[in-house]
Amino acid sequence: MVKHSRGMAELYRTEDCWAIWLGLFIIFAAMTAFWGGTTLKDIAVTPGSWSNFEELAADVQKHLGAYGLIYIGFGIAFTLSMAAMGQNIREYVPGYTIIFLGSLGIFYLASWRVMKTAHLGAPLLALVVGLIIGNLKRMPEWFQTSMRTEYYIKTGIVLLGATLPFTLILTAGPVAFLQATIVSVVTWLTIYLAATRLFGLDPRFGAVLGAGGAVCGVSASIAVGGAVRAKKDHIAIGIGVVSIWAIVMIFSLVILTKVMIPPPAELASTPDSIMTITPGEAGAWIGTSEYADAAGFAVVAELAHEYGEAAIHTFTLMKVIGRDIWVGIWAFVLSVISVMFWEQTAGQRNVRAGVIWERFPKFVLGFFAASIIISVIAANAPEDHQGKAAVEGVFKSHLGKEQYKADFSGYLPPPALAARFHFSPAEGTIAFDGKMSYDQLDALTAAAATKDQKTALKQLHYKSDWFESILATQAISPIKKLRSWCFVFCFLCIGLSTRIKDLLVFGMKPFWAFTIGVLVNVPLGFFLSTYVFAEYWKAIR
Amino acid sequence: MLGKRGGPGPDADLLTCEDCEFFNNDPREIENLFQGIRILSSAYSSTRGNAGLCAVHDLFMNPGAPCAHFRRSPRSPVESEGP
Repeated sequence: MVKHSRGMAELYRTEDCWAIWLGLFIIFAAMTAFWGGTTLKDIAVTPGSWSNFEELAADVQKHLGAYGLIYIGFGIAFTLSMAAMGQNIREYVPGYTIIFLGSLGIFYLASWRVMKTAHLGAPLLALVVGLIIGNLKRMPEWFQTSMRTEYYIKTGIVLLGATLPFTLILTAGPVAFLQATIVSVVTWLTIYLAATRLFGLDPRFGAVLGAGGAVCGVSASIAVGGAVRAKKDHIAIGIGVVSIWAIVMIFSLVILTKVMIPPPAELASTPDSIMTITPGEAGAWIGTSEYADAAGFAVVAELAHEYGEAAIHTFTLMKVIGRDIWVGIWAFVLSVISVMFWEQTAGQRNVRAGVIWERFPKFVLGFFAASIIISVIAANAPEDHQGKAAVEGVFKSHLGKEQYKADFSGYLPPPALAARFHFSPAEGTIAFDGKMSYDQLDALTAAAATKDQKTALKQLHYKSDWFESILATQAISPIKKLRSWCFVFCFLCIGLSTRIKDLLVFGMKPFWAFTIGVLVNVPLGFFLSTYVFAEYWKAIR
Repeated sequence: MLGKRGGPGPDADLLTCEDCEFFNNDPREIENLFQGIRILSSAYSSTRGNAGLCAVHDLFMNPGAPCAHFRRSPRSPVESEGP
């Protein structure tokens, strides 16, 4: 007898692996363009701000070709992968087209100045619009084929790896793991004990509910459910309970964090208090208290709209590194416990340690690979890089824009830096050889006589950083734009596929068992993120 | 090579639930059965692995060694090299 290997099929039959192939291909394309002296910036676009119809029309006309290329590029990649996974591509293609056009509409809605003033970004708008449409009208069966929430978010997470330095993963990863483990174990025990001791539910059902709240949402419920041999109904109920709470937490955490994070201009000056947190702390809290990657990214992507990438980075460290990658271990341990104590035929089946790798969320490998690739490239900046800044211009930072017009004709740099600092009156520029450190910026600024000179030197500091001023703008920025597209596809699909009425199929006992877990998880996550480990999360930008 | 109804037969060590007619781990059918799974997850994810539904025991489970109700499925990839 010969048994065929099924292992290789995972390379083309799972969304995880296709997210890796597509994500790394996009990174490869961006870097190839960069090394070839060009950039994908003109193709990887999202709409610009507009406040009247003329501005809207001009923006659409400007970017129409790029939108077409994004539609075709993603369309080909997603369609081929859907075919490989055995999906019906005659259903997928029209559905993807609708999702793409819907996402484009969401992007334009979000870039309307009215929405910007109301601090409503594309992620939240995609979710809200999707929920309204999806609950007013059931999506047809054929459209379900294109609502691949997990596939889109996993592709986005692989692309996210390109923006997260691998050194940060190595240094902050252990802290994320420690905090996540504390919260996960406490949450799982709370839900399990509430389910079994308080409400008398089957221990395997308690384990499935606990995994949904403690590890990574529905995916963990499925992984643990299979490991402990849960009843079919328990899986269905677990999916309903976890999904409802994940959606509720999206809105709750968006509101709470937006209230508690000071405006960007006041972040540095706002004193610490119980009611204020930084974006980094918010991301860590969301990472422990959201129940699905997609749901959590909806919150932090919304925060990024106003506060930058810090919340996305800390969320990713906490959720992906701290929780997701350990689902296989949870499945293995709980299967051992199930065999020994819960199953009626206790001890009569073997438990394989191989399940730890089998259940490992493989897309995380793509995330790591993306981070390593960009980190290696960033660490090998050209030694002869010279940063150059105009003496007149606009300096942009997370605090806003500063216009300046500086005169460096009488400027004398500190003697230690005189050989590296250059002023060209003919070009109207200042230049610095190599990367300028913050200490060097302070020294140069101390010698400046006017505010405009100081602003020009801040611009020069930015331009001296090859990674920030060259690699990030030419190669990583397009990757981030395409990541935004994947995220909005995902959030729109979450909204369209969430029919509240259909999810309310569970009895109250599992719901309350899970809710007791939420009531422990959320404050515990907040306490660990904003007090115990606050200094780690505050330091991450 | 097929066992009589009620068991996998002499080659049981090569067969698993995946080879059984009563076991279904087709991702499309799992997603049709668990409708809400697509909202925040997927049956095409690594974390599901090859877990599926046993119609006999009404369990969602990782495939294991065949039980007494095993019946060989036509889609089983396990081949016989001999008579």
